[in-house]
Amino acid sequence: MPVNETVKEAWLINDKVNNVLLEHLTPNMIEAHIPGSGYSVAQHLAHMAEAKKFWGAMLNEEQAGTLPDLFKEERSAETNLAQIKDVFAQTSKVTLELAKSTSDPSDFPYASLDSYLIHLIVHDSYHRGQIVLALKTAGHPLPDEGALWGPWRTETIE
Amino acid sequence: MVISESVKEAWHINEGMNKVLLEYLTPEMLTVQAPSKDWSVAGYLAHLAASKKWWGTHLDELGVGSLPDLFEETTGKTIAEKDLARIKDVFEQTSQAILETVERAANKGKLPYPSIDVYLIHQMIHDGHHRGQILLALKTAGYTPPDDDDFWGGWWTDQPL
Repeated sequence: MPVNETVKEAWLINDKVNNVLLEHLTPNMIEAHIPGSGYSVAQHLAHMAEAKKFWGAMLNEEQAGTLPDLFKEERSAETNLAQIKDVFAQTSKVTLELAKSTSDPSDFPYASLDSYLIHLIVHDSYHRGQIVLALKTAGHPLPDEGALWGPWRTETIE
Repeated sequence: MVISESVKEAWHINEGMNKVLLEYLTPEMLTVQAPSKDWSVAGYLAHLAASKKWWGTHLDELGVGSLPDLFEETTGKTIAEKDLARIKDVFEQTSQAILETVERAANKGKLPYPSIDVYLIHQMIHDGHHRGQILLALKTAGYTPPDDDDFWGGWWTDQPL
């Protein structure tokens, strides 16, 4: 079954939310992490891109498998924001295009292409939540709530 | 029908993730806060239920509006529920009520979303955002996170190699 129009819409909204976060980040925020807790902001972002690439490569190794990585040697992550934004844009576009163009996902371990995309959106949100908490703990300003959540809605809520 | 079958299925999978989280939690974990002194784990859970209830009332004020809360307001303070059995019960009631409400709905009513599907996906994203924060707060406090395959595995029909 092809990707549902509403799920495609949700994917693009999720892209917007990622862009809000990426536009908010500055170079001094990118290494923030909660001591003893694992990933830095940069590593969370690298993992978000990596997850999309991993699953996309199962649909099409040639197109998704050649996407650039944001992880470098020994799991250190890219900290150049321009590069991060570029990889996010490329990865998201390829992921959606592959989902739209796949006619037979029979070997793909998801019940549907919709489920696959929603899983990736939920995965992004999980790591966005952790990024926001890491920024807060490190004393950095947070992205505007209205900007972060607003893209999902058609009207601003008072 | 205004809700797609695939989004309904994703809703159930998301419910499954919440159940894994709630089963993993112990009473002492509910009071854990991140070093930023943000909400406690119990506070996050109360917020997740409250958010579903708030948005759901835009579709059915009476039905969804009567769902129980996981917090109470007392003399200027908001106290989150710390009885895990009650939290699990309210989560289940709320999730089921929302799904039943959207299944009955002829249209999106007063919901300020492009569609019912996007509304539900947003609620799942909202859950995901705060699940991430809950588990990060717990990890920082020294707790081992739930098994990754248990937590995320509901999305797959087969475990990936």
